[in-house]
Amino acid sequence: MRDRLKGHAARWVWLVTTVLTIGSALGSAVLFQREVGGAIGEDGWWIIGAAAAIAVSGIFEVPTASGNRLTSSYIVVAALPLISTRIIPGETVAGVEPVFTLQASLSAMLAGVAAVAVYRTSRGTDQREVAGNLVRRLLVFGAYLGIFDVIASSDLFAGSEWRRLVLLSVAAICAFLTEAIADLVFTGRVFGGRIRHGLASSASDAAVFVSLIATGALFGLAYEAIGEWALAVAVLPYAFTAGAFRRLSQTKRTYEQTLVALAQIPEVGGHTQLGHADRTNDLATAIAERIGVSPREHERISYAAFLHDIGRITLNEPSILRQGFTDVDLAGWGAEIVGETKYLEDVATIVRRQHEPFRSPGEVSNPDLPLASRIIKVCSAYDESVHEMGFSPLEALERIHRGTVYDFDPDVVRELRGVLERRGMLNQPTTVTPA
Amino acid sequence: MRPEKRKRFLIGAIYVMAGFVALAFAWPPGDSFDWPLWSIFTVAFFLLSFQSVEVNDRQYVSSSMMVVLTAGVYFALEPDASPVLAMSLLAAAGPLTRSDIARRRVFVPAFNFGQLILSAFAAGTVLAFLIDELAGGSRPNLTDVMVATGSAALVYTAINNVLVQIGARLVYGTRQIIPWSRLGILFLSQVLMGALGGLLGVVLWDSNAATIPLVLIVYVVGHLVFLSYSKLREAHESTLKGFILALEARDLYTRGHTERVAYFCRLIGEQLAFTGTQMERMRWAAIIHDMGKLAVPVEIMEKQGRLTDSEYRALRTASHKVDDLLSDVDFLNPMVQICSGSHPRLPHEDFGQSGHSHTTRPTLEQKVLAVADAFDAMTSTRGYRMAFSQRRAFETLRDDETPLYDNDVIDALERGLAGVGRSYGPPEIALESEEAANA
Repeated sequence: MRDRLKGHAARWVWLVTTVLTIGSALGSAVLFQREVGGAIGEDGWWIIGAAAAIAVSGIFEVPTASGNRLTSSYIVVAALPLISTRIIPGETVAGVEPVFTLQASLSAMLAGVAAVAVYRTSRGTDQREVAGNLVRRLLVFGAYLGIFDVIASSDLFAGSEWRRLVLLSVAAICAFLTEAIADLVFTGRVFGGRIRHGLASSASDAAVFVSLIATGALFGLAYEAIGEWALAVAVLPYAFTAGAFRRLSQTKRTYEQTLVALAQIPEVGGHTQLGHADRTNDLATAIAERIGVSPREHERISYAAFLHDIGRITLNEPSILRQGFTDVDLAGWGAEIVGETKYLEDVATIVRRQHEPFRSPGEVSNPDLPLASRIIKVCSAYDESVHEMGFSPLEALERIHRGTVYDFDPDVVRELRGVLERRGMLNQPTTVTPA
Repeated sequence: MRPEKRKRFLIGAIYVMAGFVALAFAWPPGDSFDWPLWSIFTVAFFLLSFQSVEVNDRQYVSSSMMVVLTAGVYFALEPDASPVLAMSLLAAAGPLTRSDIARRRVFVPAFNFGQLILSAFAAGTVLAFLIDELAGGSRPNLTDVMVATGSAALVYTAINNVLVQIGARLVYGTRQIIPWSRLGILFLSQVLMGALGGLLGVVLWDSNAATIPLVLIVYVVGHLVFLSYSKLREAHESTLKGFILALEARDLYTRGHTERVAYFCRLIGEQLAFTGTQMERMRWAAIIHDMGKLAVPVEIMEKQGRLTDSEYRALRTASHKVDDLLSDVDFLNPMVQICSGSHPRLPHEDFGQSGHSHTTRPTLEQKVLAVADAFDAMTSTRGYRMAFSQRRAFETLRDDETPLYDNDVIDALERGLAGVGRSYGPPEIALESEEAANA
């Protein structure tokens, strides 16, 4: 009952605040009109319409391959400066002044973005996230509209039919750069020294960004040509974009969910400790981040860490137990199962080589042993020492240290120490005295 | 193999001929035919068709129908240019695809050459007729153009799909192809895409060359739609392959079992007129229905002879744990529901897991899986007993009171097996003599 009341309240809060926001947009539009002179006319309605369009489209988001979500408001914002010839300063149509100016589009954008923020808050999204997104959207949309305005008042490509496309592309590129930088700052990657990681994720957003902007631009151009039918020109490509990228992100989720499920089968079968795969993944990715690997490598390490013990699902097979097996066999069987999934082929290699020592007697190192395999060997051994053999983290780390002569990569072990220190795990009391 | 090849050759030749005839009919292009623009369309069409993606077993689609309709509408609006020729000639550029080249296929491109031209020809005729009829020579009204575009998109997609299905059935036969699923939504996307292509034609005609890059971006978006379908399908298929391998890694018995259960499900599904989507779901359910085995304690796996109740309970608990894991995978969730409801239960059996439909009456799909599973178990030799003959297996299933073993489903399996002329289990005579010996 209380939950239902809460739900009602949230809905009312949302409704009221939305009305207030749209009202304030309306008010600002009217004020704006007063200043320019005249009552609320066609241009006032323009602002209100644009604000509403930004607000409504802002509710829908398109997922990208990197896990970000881009707002659909990009379409409206991209279309705004094009929606009427009068909007581009310097281009006038038969005696009508270009009234719908930068200030007008900015105020529409402000109202629309604010309304989205209100909506998100009312739906219980984390307030810091909402505020972050609000600032980000204002920056990016502002950059787009501002830069468009600035270059539109220049005589770049004056008189050419390509003028608008050039204006649009330049503004879009600037907006995207703003978005990428904002992304780096907001996710804290600038400070964590993980800029490469952040930039790569921005690049994977570019596809969605381009199709949204192109949809908006097409709408803007089509509006002039075919009037209200332009909505179909915008809605259909948008629906296709959203559907396609949703399915593409589902693809990734399918792989991830599947491998999480697969990884736990040996655990429920009692062949490994419960949670071993999860904890190994946790440590391995933390180490990978400290070392600073590419996003693709990061993903590979995570998948391999999850699946490194998958070969053990064969251990309820009586014939296997009778004939006996080695670590090499287990790793090989695991690699076979993982390799069946095309997407995970390189993960299979990591799994196959996880048992190999860092170096053999007489060698400096095993040069072509993948970093991922080295990391997983260390993490898996550490987790086994702690959760299977009952050592404290410090003791487990000491055991691993002793193994750095041959088995473990000293660099990886150093990073493991770093991760554990940072998590404050090495301060825990020792339970067993090391031999 | 020879008559098969001759049949293919004949069909391919007929399609190519038909294509050329259609092209001849569509000639001449008209005086103000914009060849440079047509070339841009042709390149776009070729690239999109070349990147065709597999959305179902051997069903390839591409978003190239957008380009055909853009071109059609554009040339229909031009005063003295033939949209029919523009579209058909464009389609002639499309038959080459990446996968055909990779597999060195000759028949498929020949077949596509004909069917693409025919579809484009028909759509072009409809489009030209409607625009002429509705507009009557004056500058056409937008609503009329939209109606014409929509109809043309529908005609193009419908003819295209029908011809492809006929061709695939003629060449591969239905048996070898995994049933096609999600045909409805794929068809709808294609029609909508075609309609959008037509709209783009209007925009292009009404504005200047600067619109072309934007239109091309929309084509790419259309390509992404089908690409995403295909990627998702690939993800599902290859994960399932991983599951199969996990299951059969070292156990030959299960391999045969999983495959046979999937096959029986398919036979039953065909008899009960399941849709492609249902068939696919049944296949996946059959593939994962034995995953629970992977968590069963080795003592139980090793045991020869009947299990005690408590052992059976341990076995069921283990397999339920796996079911719970698998139901966390979104796309497997409906399949897990089918599997977990397809086992006969001990009295008062309750595992208390969430998400399993235990107390409700079994669904048709659960019954199908249960019958297929039980039939295969009975007709093959297990650790604790000899295999039943097919007749005896059917009798035993019919006598069972469990609502899972529905007589309609059992009948469907019997009809299906009779239809393909196969029989499972040891031959009747041997078994009867054995029974006589026992008596």
